[in-house]
Amino acid sequence: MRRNALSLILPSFTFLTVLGTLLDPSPSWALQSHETPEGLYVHQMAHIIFMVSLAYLAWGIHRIAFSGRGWKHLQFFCFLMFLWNGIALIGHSVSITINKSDFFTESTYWYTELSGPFTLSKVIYYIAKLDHIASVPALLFLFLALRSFYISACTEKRPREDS
Amino acid sequence: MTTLSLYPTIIADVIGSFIIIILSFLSLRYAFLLTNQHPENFIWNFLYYLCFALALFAISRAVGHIVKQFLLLTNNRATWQLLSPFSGGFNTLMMISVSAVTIYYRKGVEAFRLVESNAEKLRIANTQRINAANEMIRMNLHLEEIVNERTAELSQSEKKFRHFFENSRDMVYFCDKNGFISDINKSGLQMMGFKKLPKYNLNIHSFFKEGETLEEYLLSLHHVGFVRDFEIEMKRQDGTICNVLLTANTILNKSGEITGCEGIAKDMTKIKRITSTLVSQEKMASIGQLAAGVAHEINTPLGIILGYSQLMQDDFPADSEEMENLKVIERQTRACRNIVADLLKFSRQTEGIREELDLNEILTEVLTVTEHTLNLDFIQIVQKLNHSLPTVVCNAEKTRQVFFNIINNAHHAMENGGELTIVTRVEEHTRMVVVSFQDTGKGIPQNIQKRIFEPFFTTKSVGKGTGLGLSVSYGIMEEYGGSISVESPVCNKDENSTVPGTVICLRFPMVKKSRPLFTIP
Repeated sequence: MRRNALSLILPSFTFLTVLGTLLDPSPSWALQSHETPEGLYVHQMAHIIFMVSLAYLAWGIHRIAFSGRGWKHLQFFCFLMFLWNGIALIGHSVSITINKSDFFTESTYWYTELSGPFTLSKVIYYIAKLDHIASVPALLFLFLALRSFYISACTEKRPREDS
Repeated sequence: MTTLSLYPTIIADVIGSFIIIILSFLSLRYAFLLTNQHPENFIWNFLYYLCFALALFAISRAVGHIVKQFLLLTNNRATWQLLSPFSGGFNTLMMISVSAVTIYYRKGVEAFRLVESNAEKLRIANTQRINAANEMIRMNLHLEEIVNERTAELSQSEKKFRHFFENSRDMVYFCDKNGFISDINKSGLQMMGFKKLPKYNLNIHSFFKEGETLEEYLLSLHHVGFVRDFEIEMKRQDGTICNVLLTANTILNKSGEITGCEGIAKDMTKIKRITSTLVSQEKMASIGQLAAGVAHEINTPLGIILGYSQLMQDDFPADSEEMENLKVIERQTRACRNIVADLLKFSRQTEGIREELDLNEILTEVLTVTEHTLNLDFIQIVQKLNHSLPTVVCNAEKTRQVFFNIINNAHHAMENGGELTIVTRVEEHTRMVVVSFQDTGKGIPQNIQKRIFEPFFTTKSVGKGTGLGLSVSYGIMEEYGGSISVESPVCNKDENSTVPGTVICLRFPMVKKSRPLFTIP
C-alpha cells in the first residue's frame, strides 16, 4: 500500500518541477555572447599575427642566408606587407574615432567627402584609405620573387644556397 | 579646404584590388610551375602554399572591397551591410591562414635542410660505392694485367738498384745494428781482400784498424744518424792497410730505433799514395835547393882553407907537429868538400858526360868490386839479369855511385848474412828499364820510409854513414828523369803475402832509338 503511494508521488513531483521551470525560466549564462567590437579586435589581432609572421619569414631568410635576387624580392615583399599591415592596423584603430557626421554626402556615395576640421585622426584615416600604395608593390615583389625563382630553377636544378 | 573628397580613395581601392588579384594569381602560377618542376623541393612547396593562401586573402579582401564599392556606388548600402561581416570575417580568417603558413616555414626549412643534407650524404656515399664497384670490376677484369704490370715495374726497379749495387766500384754494404754485414757487393769484398763472401759472418767493425776511429764512427751514427766523408784506415784480410772514405747512414724502424746501417766506402789508397809521393817530391826539391845553396857558400871557404893549409905545409919540416896538424886540416877539409860534392850531386848541380850505356855492364863492374866484401859477411848475390836490356842515357860514374850506395845499404841491413837479389828487366808499358835490389835484411819501418831520401837522414851509428847515400841516389835518378822507390816488407805477389826485407827499385827511362828488344825472323 505504502509502496503504491510512493510510486505515485515521485513522478508527480518531477512533472511539476519541469513544468514550473519551463514556465518561469532564469538566465543560465552557459554561452558567451559576441558583441560588436569583438570582430574588430579579432581583425586587429589577425593583423598583428600577420605582421609577426612576415617579420619571422624575413628574419628566417636572412638567418639561413639564402642568396639571389628572388630572396631579396621576397624580403621586400615581407617588408612592404608588414608596412601595409601597420597602415591597416592604424587605419582600423583611427576609424573608431571617426563619426558618421564627419562624412558629407551631397548626392551619391561617389561624392562623399570628409568634412573638416582635419584632425590628425582624420588625416591618418584618409591616408590609411590609400593602403594599396603599400600592398600593390608588396604583391609586385612577391610576383618578381616567384618569377626569379622559376627562371633560376629552369637554369639550375636546385635553389642556390650559400649556407 | 573644408572638405576632402573620398573618390581618390575609391578609385585607388578598386584599381589596387584588381591589381592585387592579378599579381597574387600570377605569383600562384609561378609557384605552381615551380612545384611541378621540383615536386620534392620543400621551399617551392612552401612558397606555393604561401601564394595560395595569399591569393585567397587577396580574393577575400580585394573582391570584398570591389563589391563594397560597387554596392555603395549603386546605393545598395543595406546589401553591403548584410555582406560586410562575412567579407570581414573571411578576410580575417585568410590573414590568420597566411600567418600560420608563414610560421610553419621555419620548422619546414630546418627539416628540409636536414633531409637535403642526408640526401647529399647518401648521394656521395652512393657515388663512392659505384666508383668502388667500378674499380672492383676493373680490377677483376684486368687483375692479371695489373699484377704483371706492377711486377714488371718492381722487377725493373729491383734490377736497376741491383745493377748499381753489383757494379759499383766502391764498397756498398748493409749491416745490422751490431755491424754484421747482411749484404756487400763484389767491390767491397775485393777491397777487403776477399775473393768471395766467406761462410762466417763478416763484421764491418772488424775492418777498422783503430779502435778510436771505430768509436768515433759509432758515436756519430748513434747521435747524428750518419757519417759523411769519414777518412779511415781499414785492415784487409791479409793485414795490409787501405785508406777509405766512408759515408754511412743508420736504418731506423717505425719507432725510430736503429736496426742497422748502410754505407758506401771508397778506396783512397792509390790517391793517398800519389798525394804522398807528390808531397815527398816537393819536399825533396825544396831540400835540394837548400842543399845547393849551402854547398855553394861552403865550397869557396873550404877551397881557401885547403889551399892555405897546403901552402903552409912548405913552411914547416916534414916531421914537425905543425906539419901533422896541417895535414889533419887538409884531410878534414877534403872530407868536407866530398860532402859538399855529394850535396851538389843530390841537388843536381853537377853535370857529367852522359852517354848510352848498358846497365848490366855497369852493374857487373860494381858487383866485381863489392862481391868479395859481401861474401865475407855471408851475403849471397843472386843475379837475374835481362841480357837483352835496352841502353839508357846516363853518366857511368854517377850510376856506378847509385849502385854502390844501394848495395852498401843492403850490406848494412844484412850484417848477419842473407841474400841480395839483383834483377834487371824492362817495363814496356812505362818504357822504363828497372833495376831492383832485394835484400833479406830487417827491413825499413813504415814510419821512416818517407824520410830515407832526405839528406843526412840515417839509421846507422855515428861514423858509419853520412846519410847522403840515398839522397844522392835520389838526386841522380831524378836528374835522369827516372825514379827510385822503396818497398818494405816485400810483397810476394805469387803467394799474396809479405816477406821481410827491402826492395829498392831504380827506374831508368829507355832510349828511344835503342837496339831492338827482339828481332823479327
